[in-house]
Amino acid sequence: MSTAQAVSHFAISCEVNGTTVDRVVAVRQLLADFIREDLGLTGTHLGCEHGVCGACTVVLDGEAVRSCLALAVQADGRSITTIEGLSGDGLTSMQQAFRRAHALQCGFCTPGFIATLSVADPSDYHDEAGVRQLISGNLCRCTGYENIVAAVCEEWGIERS
Amino acid sequence: MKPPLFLYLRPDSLEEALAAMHEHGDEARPLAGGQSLVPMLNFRLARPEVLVDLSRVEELVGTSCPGPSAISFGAMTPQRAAERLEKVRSTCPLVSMMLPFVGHVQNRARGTIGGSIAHADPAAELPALCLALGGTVVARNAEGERRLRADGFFGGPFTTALMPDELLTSVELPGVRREDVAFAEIARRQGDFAMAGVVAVRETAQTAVRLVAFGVGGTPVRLPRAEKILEGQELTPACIAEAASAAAGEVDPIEDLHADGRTRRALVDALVRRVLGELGSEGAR
Amino acid sequence: MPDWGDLVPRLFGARVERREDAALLTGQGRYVADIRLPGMLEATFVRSHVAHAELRRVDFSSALKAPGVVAAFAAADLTGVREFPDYISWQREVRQFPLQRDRVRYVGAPVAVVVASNRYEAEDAAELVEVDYAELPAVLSIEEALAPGAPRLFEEWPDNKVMDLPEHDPEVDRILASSPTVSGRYRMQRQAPCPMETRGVVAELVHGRLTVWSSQQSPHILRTTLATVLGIPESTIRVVTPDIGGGFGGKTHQYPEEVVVAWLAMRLRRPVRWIEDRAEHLVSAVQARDEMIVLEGSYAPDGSITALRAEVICDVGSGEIAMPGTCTSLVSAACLTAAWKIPHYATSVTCVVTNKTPSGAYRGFGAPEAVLAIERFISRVALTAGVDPIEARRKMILDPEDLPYMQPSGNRIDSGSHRAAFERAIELGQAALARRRQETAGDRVRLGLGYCQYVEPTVPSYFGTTGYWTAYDSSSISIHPDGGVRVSCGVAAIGQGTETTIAAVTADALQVPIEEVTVVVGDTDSCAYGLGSWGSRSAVVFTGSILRAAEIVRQKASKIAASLLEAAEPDVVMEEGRFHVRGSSTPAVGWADVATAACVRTIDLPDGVEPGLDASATYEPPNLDHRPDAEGRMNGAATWANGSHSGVVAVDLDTGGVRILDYIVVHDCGRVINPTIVEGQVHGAVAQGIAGALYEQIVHDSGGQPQTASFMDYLLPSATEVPRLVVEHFESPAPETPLGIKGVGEAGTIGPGAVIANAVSDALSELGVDITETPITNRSLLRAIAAAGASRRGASPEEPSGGDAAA
Ligand code: FES
Ligand code: FES
Repeated sequence: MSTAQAVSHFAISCEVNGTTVDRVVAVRQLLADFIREDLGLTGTHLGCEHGVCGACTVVLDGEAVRSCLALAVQADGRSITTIEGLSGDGLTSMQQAFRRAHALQCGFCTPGFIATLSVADPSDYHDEAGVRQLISGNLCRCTGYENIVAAVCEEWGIERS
Repeated sequence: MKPPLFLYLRPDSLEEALAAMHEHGDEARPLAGGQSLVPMLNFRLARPEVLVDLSRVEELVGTSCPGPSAISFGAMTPQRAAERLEKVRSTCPLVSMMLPFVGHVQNRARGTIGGSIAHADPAAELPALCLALGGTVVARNAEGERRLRADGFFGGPFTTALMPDELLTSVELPGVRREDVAFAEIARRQGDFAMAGVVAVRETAQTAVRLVAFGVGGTPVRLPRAEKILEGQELTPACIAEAASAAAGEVDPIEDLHADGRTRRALVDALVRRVLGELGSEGAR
Repeated sequence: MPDWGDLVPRLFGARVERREDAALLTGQGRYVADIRLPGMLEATFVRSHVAHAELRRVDFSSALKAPGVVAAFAAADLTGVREFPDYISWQREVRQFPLQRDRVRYVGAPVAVVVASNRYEAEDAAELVEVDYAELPAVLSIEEALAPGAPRLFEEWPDNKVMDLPEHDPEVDRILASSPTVSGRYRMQRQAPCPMETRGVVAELVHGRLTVWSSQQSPHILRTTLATVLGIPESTIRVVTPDIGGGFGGKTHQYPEEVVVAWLAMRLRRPVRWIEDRAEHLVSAVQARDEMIVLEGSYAPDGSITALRAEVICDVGSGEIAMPGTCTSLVSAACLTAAWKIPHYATSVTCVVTNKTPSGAYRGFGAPEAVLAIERFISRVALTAGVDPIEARRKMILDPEDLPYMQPSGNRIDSGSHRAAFERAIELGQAALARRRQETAGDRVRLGLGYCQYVEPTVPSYFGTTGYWTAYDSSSISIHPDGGVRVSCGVAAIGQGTETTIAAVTADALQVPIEEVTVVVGDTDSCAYGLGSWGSRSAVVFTGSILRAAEIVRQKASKIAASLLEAAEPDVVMEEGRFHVRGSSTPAVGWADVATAACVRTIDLPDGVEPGLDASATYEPPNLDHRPDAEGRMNGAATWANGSHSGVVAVDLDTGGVRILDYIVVHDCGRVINPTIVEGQVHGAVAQGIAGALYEQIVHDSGGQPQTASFMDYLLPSATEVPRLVVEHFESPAPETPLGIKGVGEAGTIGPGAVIANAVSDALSELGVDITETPITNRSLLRAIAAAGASRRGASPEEPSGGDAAA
């Protein structure tokens, strides 16, 4: 749908965790707020609302993106997967690796890390430095990253340097 | 930290987009990948009346090779998509080298090639890349198209030669071989805007090097004095050192929270030596 | 001291998997921002955008017309609300009202609150609130605050000193006057705790009872404070701290927003939510450090320090925060001598107020500042004495036979592995350095080795911080008829795995499978009074109280079991959670049988045994002084952890860049409940210390405008800035705490500033760079390198401090 008239609200239709969602949204509403407040999917967190911390990372059409830097209206016609959708029934093997390695403490950052990792192709990463680079867009204040790096390296069979 | 009120337009074609820009003029703000604009909205530092969302303008997405040794990016091509393309790596490896330094992977998934260049952050990689390669920026408004050379496109911090109703539609970059390009930057953290960065591009004749520094002034800047020293010269350590100190002398560095002028000069000096050293050793191979 | 007695612990010391993780990994955590109540409104605060001003008028007329707005209030509208109590008698009284009344003293100070149907509309309206400020000159540093004739923040005070405790030790004076001395001035910058979850409050009033959900480290203390400030009975308030996305000290305070949001819920009779955004957080949540330490010491020819005089001067911002930020400077003073045998030591402590965000608690709480200062000072002394800096340290470090060691400040170092941990860290550090030297580095890169040693007061008294609360905590255990166990504690869970460790200790104490244990924390309606989680105290105080409560429950259960087994009580033993008659083949009874008798079939209870199977107990940490003695000496902590760190850095002479190549922690927090969790605490704390050494700094411009109110400018390190962390444990049991455990939460933060400053100074020793400040940035280091070069040439008196603290 195209609009010649500039609007303040917009009817969107998108797929969220495999389910079609139709809503009217205020055009200024952030995607993160739509996910959290309108859809009640509170596993997506807001740590900065200006695109630095990565706590709000979701998967949008197969890419990890910051949901605080997208508008809800931009999700129209797109497919979104949040941490709730990534998790399915049990823990994915990356989530299990996190658990084994004690890669989370308060857990506030964790859904963002999991979302980023969920779409990364392990074959692109050959060493610890590459893994650190990959997750450098997700801040964690609790773990010092040590065990997050350990979990990812273990899961992807990367020997730590 | 929530965006202020604005109105929203989502054109489906370039024509509609240009019409919208024409109609709303100064009040309109094109929204590309949003990785710079949306934070500014969230801080309420940007207050456009109308946001023109370009994300559905298919004509603006895509990468093509207009000539055997050139590459053209539609303005709305996501940085992450460009980063992944083998065609980009083989035709214009400097792009593939510099893109990973643009923000973080999540930013590049939405951030676009054209958006970054049009935003013209003085510390951003893509404007510097465009300038160093001597690229061409293609702009359009309802009246027609303009082709603008990168030299002269960046007028100041966040300021370009684009007119208010104009959209950047594509960027054309000449392909330069891997051994003829080098790039380095120093930022406080991975993914931050650089305190200083330097790009070097050896021109085909092998006798001249285009040097561009970014993060040090209001725009990415050529380093003509350093380039002059290098002209027709072998990249010997002595020549490199001379060019580096000329470069450090000719930049007019800004001072901010993260670095003062003296630091930026020192960084430019070190970075010029680093990139020229790399170029020298590549050339010798 | 409570101990296992005859019990055989199975989980204590084991790497028990965290029970928190399954929910947190799948987005099922429940943080304050996730709470949505029917009819809930959202609040936003109007904050001062000037650093210092008289507040003339707040005008809501346009704001109230904005779409979605329900109400807006300023200080004068807060009927029934009182000032925050200030209990501290040894400092000047700071009068603080939840919204600023007639003056604002920092950018970010809350001036008004606007309530609307959602946060977007609340922010729209907040922009329309007109505030009339009459600006006053701002005071922004220690130097400015202490300058003669400086503008005063509080008119009723004669100066800007909120606390001023002079030192007087004629013996120190005498030694310093008669010996060669060295002096130094050390500075650590202002930082912010910055948990990934900002603060947030939701409040509602139902049936006359107020429920307040808050991202808080001390739910009961908040409840008491709310009762005092709102002027309502404490029993009408319930405080809940749901999942907390990190605290690090910053959430131990009782904040104006907590009071105001609670008041709004009472006033508007609707649930109200306020979620702090990051820009607010970086100007209105407490900040920390920002301290200068001036040292003067005499020394022996072997480089050991014979007497030390310290002046600790801390910039506590505006000081307007409940639980004031002054105590950290006392901890700095107490931690300066670390595990060094310095026979004579005197210190003065001064806290000044400035027009910056109030300071408060942040992981490390005064110790990182002290250890940076003393480590750099010892190296300077060694250099002056012509002694190898490691050798100088070896002369002074505590040995096992010195313990318990009474420091001149009154600290009683109860136990530890001070020399052994130090030697191990040095050994690992030197090996790492040797390895790095093998790798080619480039002729403009210099490698350096740094190290440090510290003691950490754990399980401290809260009296020094609050002037009111002390140190104890509580736990309650109930056994349900099915044999399941519910344990509740006064400590809070702030993301450290507290539920898991509580469950493990409880399971061991009752000999039940850990899955049978349900843990309740962070709810004042369900938990007996406790002081929360701070000061590296939780593990010790919950363990102490759980062991005591469990013992009561076990004793009662034995009685009941004896009756069920028709045996004499002394013949009944508990093994693996079953009660049976010693040496008999009679079938055993389990917790379910006992609890069923106690709670349901009370007809089965023996005579004289009352129904129910539960117990509450408190635990008061031992050896604590809550107040100094007549000589000003006190031991403010129940037990002292220790550690040594070392690290190798590469310094680029051309760019001033510092790269940490190796980082090693040798850590001793006594007996360890769960090594995995302890290591995690150390990792996170070290990363925060590294952040302070190289990256994070709160900066204000000359007018007092914060320059670092975003994550673009306040630089939390990411995975590419934090190196691999190697952690080794020593276990010196605390002689007087339950099971010999000590606290661990903060220790890791103490070392990195000193280690990296030492390492960079070592790398640049040929140039004579002597780092005295953090953060160490490209700018500060290039400046220090230039200054060192100049002073070598005799050209400039500029001191090559190498830090950016005063930038
Ligand atoms: S909340 Fe989106 S990046 Fe921080
Ligand atoms: S686990 Fe707390 S922020 Fe990462």
